[in-house]
Amino acid sequence: VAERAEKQSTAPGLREAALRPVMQRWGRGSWALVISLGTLVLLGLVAFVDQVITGVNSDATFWGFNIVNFVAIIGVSYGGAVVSAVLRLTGASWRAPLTRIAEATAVVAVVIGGAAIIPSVGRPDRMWEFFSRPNFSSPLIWDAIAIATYACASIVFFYLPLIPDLAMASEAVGERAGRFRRALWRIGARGWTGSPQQRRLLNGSIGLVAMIIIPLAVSVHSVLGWAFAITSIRPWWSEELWPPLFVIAALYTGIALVILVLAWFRRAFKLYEQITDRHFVRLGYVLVPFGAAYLYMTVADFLPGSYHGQPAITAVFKALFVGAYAPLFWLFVVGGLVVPLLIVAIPRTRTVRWIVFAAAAIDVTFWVNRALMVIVPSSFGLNTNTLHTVAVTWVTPAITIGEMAAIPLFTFLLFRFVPILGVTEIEELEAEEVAMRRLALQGEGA
Amino acid sequence: MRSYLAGFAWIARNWALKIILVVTAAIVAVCASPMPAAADSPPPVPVKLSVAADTARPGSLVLTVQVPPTSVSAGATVAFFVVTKEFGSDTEVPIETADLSKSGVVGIGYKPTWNGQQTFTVHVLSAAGATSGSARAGFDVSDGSPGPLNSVANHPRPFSTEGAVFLAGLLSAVALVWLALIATLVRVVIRLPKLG
Repeated sequence: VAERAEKQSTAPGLREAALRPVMQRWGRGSWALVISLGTLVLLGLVAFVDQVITGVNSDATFWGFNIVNFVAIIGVSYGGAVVSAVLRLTGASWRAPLTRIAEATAVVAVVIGGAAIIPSVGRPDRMWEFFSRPNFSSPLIWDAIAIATYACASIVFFYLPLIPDLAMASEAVGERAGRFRRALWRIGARGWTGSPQQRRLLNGSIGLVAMIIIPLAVSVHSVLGWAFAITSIRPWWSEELWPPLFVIAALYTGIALVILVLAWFRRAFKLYEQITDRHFVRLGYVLVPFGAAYLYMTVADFLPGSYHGQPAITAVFKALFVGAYAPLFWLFVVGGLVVPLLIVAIPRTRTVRWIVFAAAAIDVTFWVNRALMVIVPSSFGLNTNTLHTVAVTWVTPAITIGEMAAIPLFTFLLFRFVPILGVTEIEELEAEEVAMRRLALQGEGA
Repeated sequence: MRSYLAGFAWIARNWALKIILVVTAAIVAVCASPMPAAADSPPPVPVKLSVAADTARPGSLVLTVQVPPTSVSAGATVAFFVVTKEFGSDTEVPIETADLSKSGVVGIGYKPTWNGQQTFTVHVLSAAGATSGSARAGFDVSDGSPGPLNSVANHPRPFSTEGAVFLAGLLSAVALVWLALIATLVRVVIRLPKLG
């Protein structure tokens, strides 16, 4: 297989495509994108500094949107890592052009998501005490442990498959890459020559980390769900359903983000040959079970609460179904669940454009859904048994926009340093496919 | 003069710089916009805040606000805060906002989260949101024997009793995952060059 892969290196086109974001000079579009996203990130940082200096006591649910962002961003990270891990473990050969982008999205999102908790902490300067004086009875310490472990695993999972491609990049680009990138690639490639022993060691290690990362990702989102459920005094923060609900939402939105990032890079770097329409349709199919499961669990979450009619839960559900939050809630149900499922179900809408639209709708409406899950129960006055009006200053939206802008910015910048496609993996899988076909033909001939 | 003109021409050509200049100008314009002038405010409403241990709910306090009934305006509310020095100077952390009754009385329950002297403030707000009166009161949490917080502080946490084994199991699982990750990475990083 290795020999065939070498022979198959008739793919200079593939290598050139994988290195296009690294080698292409930035045009006006790239500069405009980086400057505008950078400005938004800077605005978020200014808002955070303002919050630290002047305090966050503007509203009874002041921390709510920061928690919403934290949950949403960590969630989208989960999808990229798990999709890649599952496709690797199941040996799905169509995965090859997607895995690098999915894993990079996971790494960038988990780093930004982990940092997104900082604005919701009253005293960020004391965050180190979280680890120096841990309280194991608090769900928050488990949040920190789970996220730190998952972030570390995501980085390892991103790095290991990158090793052969760093060697390839170093060989293919040579001096033109510049001193820094060449040093980075040389150190990162760890003397990769593609020998069978090296391949065996690397593939075994990737498989092991892929097996570790799936339960890790499940644990991260379960712990997030439990963090709410343990605060059981708040209406609707139900302890039974929220952990699995969070896990499914994370997968669903994470896959949607992978679709969006794929579409963006495919268009920006003309990767139409490598990332085909078929990849989008298949990822669309992957969305379906998670969307359907979330729809079912949403009904399962609301039905008992609506039935037993406890005053606090009734007030919250009423506000969601027919009250002040109804437009947002139904936007989520229709835009985030029903429409994407229909788009994939109907053959005429099963196109790249529609699937990208569905993915965008999922990511936007699920942020809204998380905002409803966090903010509405928090705004319920336990003394007055009424819902308070939620008001925000410019600070929280600015932090939100800054965090959201950081994801595309850092993903874009990351691919200035590493190949965007797993060239070695694509070549290996193609060689394997050729070998399988030959074997099948030989079998038929015999 | 010529070099100035060349400088302007360079700025005009450099669209990236133009974006930065426009954004900077917008930020400066927003920051420089004048603050609205303060309106003449009516005399403050006399507000009385009392804090006491809640005998019905151990571990809780009752914060009661009294305002002369004649001073109660339609739609008036009372915002309750606990004062903290956690952020340097005194900062009001919101507890709750409750409607003021026609008789001028409103009370809420509050469960303190730490022991010692605590300060509470209230602001009476008109329907339009303007503050018409404020008050401040203190309460030493350890005073109210058995103490509002004592029941919480002495409550045994599950991980310190029967759950201790579970905690040890969880921490061991986390340690195993970290060990596996580090070992995998180290193995690849060290062995790969030797196998090349």
